[in-house]
Amino acid sequence: MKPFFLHVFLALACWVPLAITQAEDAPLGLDLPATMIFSKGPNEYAGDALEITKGRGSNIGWYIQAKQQEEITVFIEYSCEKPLDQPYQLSFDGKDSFWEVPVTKKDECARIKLGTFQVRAGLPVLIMLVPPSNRKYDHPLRFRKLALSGGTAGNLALVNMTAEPIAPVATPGFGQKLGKLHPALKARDLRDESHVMRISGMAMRGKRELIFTTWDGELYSLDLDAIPNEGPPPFRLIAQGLSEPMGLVISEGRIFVTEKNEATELIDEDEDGIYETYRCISHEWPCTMDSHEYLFGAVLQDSHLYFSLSVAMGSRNSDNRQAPLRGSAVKVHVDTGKTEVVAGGLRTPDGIGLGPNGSILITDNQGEWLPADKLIHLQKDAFYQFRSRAPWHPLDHMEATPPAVWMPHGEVANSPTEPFLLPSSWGPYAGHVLWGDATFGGLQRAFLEEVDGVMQGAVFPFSQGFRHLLHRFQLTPEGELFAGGIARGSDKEFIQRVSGLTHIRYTGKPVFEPLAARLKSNGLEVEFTQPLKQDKGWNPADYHVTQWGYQGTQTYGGQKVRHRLAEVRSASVSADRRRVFLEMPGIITGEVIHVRLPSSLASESGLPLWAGDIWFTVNRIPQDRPGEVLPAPPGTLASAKPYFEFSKDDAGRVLYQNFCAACHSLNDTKLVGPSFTGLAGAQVKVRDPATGKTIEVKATADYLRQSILEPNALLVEGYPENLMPPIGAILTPAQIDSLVDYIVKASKRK
Amino acid sequence: MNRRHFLTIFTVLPLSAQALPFDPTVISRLSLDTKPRSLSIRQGGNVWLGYDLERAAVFKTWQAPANKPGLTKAGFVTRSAGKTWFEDGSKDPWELRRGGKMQPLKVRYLGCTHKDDYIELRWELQHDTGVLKLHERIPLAAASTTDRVMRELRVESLAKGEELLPPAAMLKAWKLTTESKAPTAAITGSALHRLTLP
Repeated sequence: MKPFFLHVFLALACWVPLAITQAEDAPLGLDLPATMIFSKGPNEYAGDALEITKGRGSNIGWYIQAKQQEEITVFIEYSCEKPLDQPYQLSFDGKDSFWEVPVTKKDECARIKLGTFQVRAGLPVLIMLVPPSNRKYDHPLRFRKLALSGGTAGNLALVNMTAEPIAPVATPGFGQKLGKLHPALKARDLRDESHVMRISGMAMRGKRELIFTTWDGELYSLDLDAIPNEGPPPFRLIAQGLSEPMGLVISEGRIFVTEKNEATELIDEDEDGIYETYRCISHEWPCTMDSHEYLFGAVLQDSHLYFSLSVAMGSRNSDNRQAPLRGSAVKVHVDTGKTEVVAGGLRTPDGIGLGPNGSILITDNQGEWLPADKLIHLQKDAFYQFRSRAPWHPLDHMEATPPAVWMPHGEVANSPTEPFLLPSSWGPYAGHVLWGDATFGGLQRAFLEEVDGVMQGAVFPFSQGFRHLLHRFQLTPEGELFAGGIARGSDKEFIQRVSGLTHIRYTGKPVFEPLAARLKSNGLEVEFTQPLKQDKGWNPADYHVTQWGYQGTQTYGGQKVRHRLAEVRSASVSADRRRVFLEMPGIITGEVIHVRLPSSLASESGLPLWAGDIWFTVNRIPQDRPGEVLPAPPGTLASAKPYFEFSKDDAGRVLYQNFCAACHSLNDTKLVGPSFTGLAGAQVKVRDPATGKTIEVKATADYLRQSILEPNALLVEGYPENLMPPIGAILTPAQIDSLVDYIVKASKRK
Repeated sequence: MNRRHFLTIFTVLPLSAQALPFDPTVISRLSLDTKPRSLSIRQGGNVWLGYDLERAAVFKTWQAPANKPGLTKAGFVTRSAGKTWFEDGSKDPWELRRGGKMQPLKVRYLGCTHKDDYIELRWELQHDTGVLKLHERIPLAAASTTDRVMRELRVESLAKGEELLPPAAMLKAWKLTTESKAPTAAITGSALHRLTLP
């Protein structure tokens, strides 16, 4: 990492506990008090100071707005009597820097200069102070305020942008996770009931032989012509003893596997069908015993094997250090073993695959530094935003390379898996990219475009309705898709139920849905698979559009920035009624545009809309590609009834569906986490973190709230630490309230 | 999967009963005893060798408890169990002696082969002017009654006058002999050498 640290120095110390005399240079600026932050999380106030005892969960941020651009100096008022072993993150309008916290004397409140920044006029600016990841301090850092000092009186103002725009009532495919199989797909579960197979890599050997690895270290073969009409297919074990393989690729008959700590070639020297040699191609990168360090995926291009090194997670509970080069995308020459780091800043990049025009795509998981899940276009020497602490990855830059598309966490993704390119046999979806999700489930789809060589595009929900959580994929030459399932957790019944193999066919059945979205100089064009019904689609009120940016934080979570309703000035339907251009004057580079279509929108042939959500990531606004604004035909702007309904009570249900339902059922179905059935008001056996002993607590709203904010605080008996992500860190306080209310009501036994 | 329920699955089946190589009851390629890049090989019915792949060295040799497995598995890592016969916690390297001077060697693991009656591990040892290739073969049958453990070593590309010295801790505990069973302190030429644990 290039030098980025702030020129921190002690500017002033006051000796009365948290009693600050206003500095003389402040009147031209603005105070950002601790009492006006977004959320204190699990921390507590002591007077007007926030005692930060836990790194994760609080959201120390403010929005300000400037009338004009100017230079701003940021000061902090705080006390901290013992040294911290990690710095705080200060983000000013997306520019990150680090603050090594100087120790203060007991009961002393210090005022320190953190740095100087440019504030711009226009849209509100987010300022955030982020504690180190997952730290629990044995003493508090008492934070009182940030003080902004500028040169223009009255230029800065605090603004409130914490309220999310109210979303229309959601149904599956329209603000809520899909519930069924895509109408143009047929799926057959090929699971062998007697054999758990957590599939971790897939490849074709010849035209009709599928081979696949399992997490447990086995390599199986399946003759696709031998699949019976009913019952499990004849899986044949052809190799064993692999170490947590997570990627498999075949090239010219050679089999390459990415294992836990090495890239390996399986060799059958005497050609008797048995792989007696496991050749280590490379292991030229450090590793530790952390269970989350994997080599994810395998793509072969120009005699090089490409894969990713995921980062450790256990370190989050201690010093947050990573072994050098973790988080890299790596390429290894399959013959010489020459190993090169292609890019850095990856976190849990489970999937890698080939994209359009020979590109390589990687999916990555939301978490520390990554405010949402994402699909990355792999580029040499790029840095993709995850960092741990010094010593930094050699490719760590303060300015991260944005993903091709963001996948908003809990809305269309949770743990995205291998991306793959659809072939010409998939009709209108040819050239699009699909991927699975190891938590959210189903298949998601992206349409990607390039503007000035920069990849961007739209994400669409595509299909749910599979028995398995889809992890790895392989297409046959005829376009049949085989999808391997995987499950985590420790519940054997759950693992058995959601692992395995699924055979998916595209049938060509017509489906009405948004097919693609392309950015224009002045808006967004949406293409549909079928022509719209005559005179439909012209009304801008047909489209509920919001937009936001993202702020990554060194604690788990991150957040949406400036989440707001977007202005749709007009909607123009093309002559063939397959495309609608949404004129939008407020498109901002680096933001996500979310378009919600009404479920009432129908095709010319009367087909209902399959899904109505589109998330478009704006990386580059084309300067020479304006969308055509057309006059609306007479009468097309009128509407007999509103396109969208709004209900405040809907938010909790949707949050449950998108964030919780994958792991916590509302019936007695066993999933990764405990069922919510009958939970509210019941006595729950939990592990007391102080003593390690099992105690009983009543599942009140407060208990639920604490479990959302601090999943490890009161662990339900039988469930391990760190299984549940701290989703409280990515929900607003209002969203947590809605979610708790919903769980309390919905968990009551009928 | 954090639940630490230890599964003691490793039994002592003979290789001949297995249809495929790399049976985890004979060779485990999972991390051993908190060493990330390591593997374990069983010789005979109850003797295990633990290899540090980054040092090209055995770091532990042990005997399984009577009627119990010598390797336990928890999740995707393993632990040795039984009576330790040899343990090397040092970082002693392989060394190349040329003209009385020691040359540093950079180790690169090349992989392993599992045949009916042996497992062979291979490493590259890079020095200032070239590369040596070290082959270590571990017979899967029990060692002779006089030796508790036996390994066979062969090196490619050692020049005349060059000697390859095993890590000091290994030389101290193990007996290095030539193919004709003559004791030696270093490997020379390309002939077979043996390391035995008396």
